[in-house]
Amino acid sequence: MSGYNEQAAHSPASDTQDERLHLLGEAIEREQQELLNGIAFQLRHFRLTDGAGLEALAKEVLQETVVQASKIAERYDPAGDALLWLRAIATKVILRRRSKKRREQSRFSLVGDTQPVRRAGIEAQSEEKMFELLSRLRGRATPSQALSAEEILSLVEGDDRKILRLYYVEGLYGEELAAEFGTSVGAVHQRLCRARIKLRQAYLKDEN
Amino acid sequence: MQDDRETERMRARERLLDRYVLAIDSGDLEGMAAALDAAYEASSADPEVSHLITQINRAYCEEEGLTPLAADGQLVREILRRCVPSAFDTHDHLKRSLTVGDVASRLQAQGRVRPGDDKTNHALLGNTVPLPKPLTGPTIKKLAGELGTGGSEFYWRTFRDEAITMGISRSHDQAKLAARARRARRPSRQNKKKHD
Repeated sequence: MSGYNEQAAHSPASDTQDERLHLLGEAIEREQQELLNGIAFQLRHFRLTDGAGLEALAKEVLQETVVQASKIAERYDPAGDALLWLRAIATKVILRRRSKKRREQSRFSLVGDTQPVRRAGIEAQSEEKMFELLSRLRGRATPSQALSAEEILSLVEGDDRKILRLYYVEGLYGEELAAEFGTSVGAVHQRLCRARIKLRQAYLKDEN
Repeated sequence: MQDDRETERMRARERLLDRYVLAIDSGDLEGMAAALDAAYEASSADPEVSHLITQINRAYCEEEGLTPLAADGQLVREILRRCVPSAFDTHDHLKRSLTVGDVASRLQAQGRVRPGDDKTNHALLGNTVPLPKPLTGPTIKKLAGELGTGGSEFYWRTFRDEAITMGISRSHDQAKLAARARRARRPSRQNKKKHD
């Protein structure tokens, strides 16, 4: 019988699948902690549980994510980042649970969930050009370019303007940018994203 | 040219991160899933995306006042063992030398044993004598004599051919296993960044 097994293991298709499963297994073992905390955050942030049941539910979702990942392992491309792939699966597991919960709740209520589905509508062309301009200036703007950048950045105020200036005009990034605000790299990137979203909204408002 | 490519890469990264943060801040779970799918697609060209999403997630956890949870490693390992058994394949068979019994098993499984040689092949199943090196006509002839199980000249020729094929496959698998072990020992880009 071992002959059959060895033969199967030598076919190129099973080699690739075996390698993929192996890498995926390693990634799950390595990233389970990060994944679990990401799941706990989503459950709390999207109000799927109260504080008391959070840990148990997060572990349940983690298990379901591992099972789901192994079922669709053939879609995993090892060239991409395993943690991101697992995070996306975990988010879909949470989405399914939320839909199920909502269906169950709607049985007891005639008024359904009327909350509109909000989309990340950030694909407008004109403000994309503005960001392209800012990106090109990043850290190497001439004095006159820096002045134009300041003009754009004046659409937002306070810390939003400060962080965008440090990032786009001064060219600060990561640890350097975090040090300016006395916070973590993650928090400063979160702040930077929020400032960019505000600038985009202000720019669109200004255009209209 | 290089600058343009780098600017484009930075912009693509910024767009992804903005989309991710906007989805979370606006309570859009579907948007978050879509942003993660897009980030995974982009991660093969830009590994920094995953690192930044991890950092941003940590910032959100802090914002929510979440205490980090400890994963139940044993439980996850058990699920993996059940769902992804190959993740735990030790490949022990690759660490030992090929034996006479391995070749006899393969010949039987492939139905390559002629009726007159089946007794010989049957007697060799499970035989743990390592194959001689190098696998030449004379070394195989000597092996056949030492084993004393008989067998036609055709049988031992087929035996030798199969032993060579299995040896090549084994070397190929050993090389893959070694590469996998090297990858496992190498810290991931993400972990490397964490320690930088």
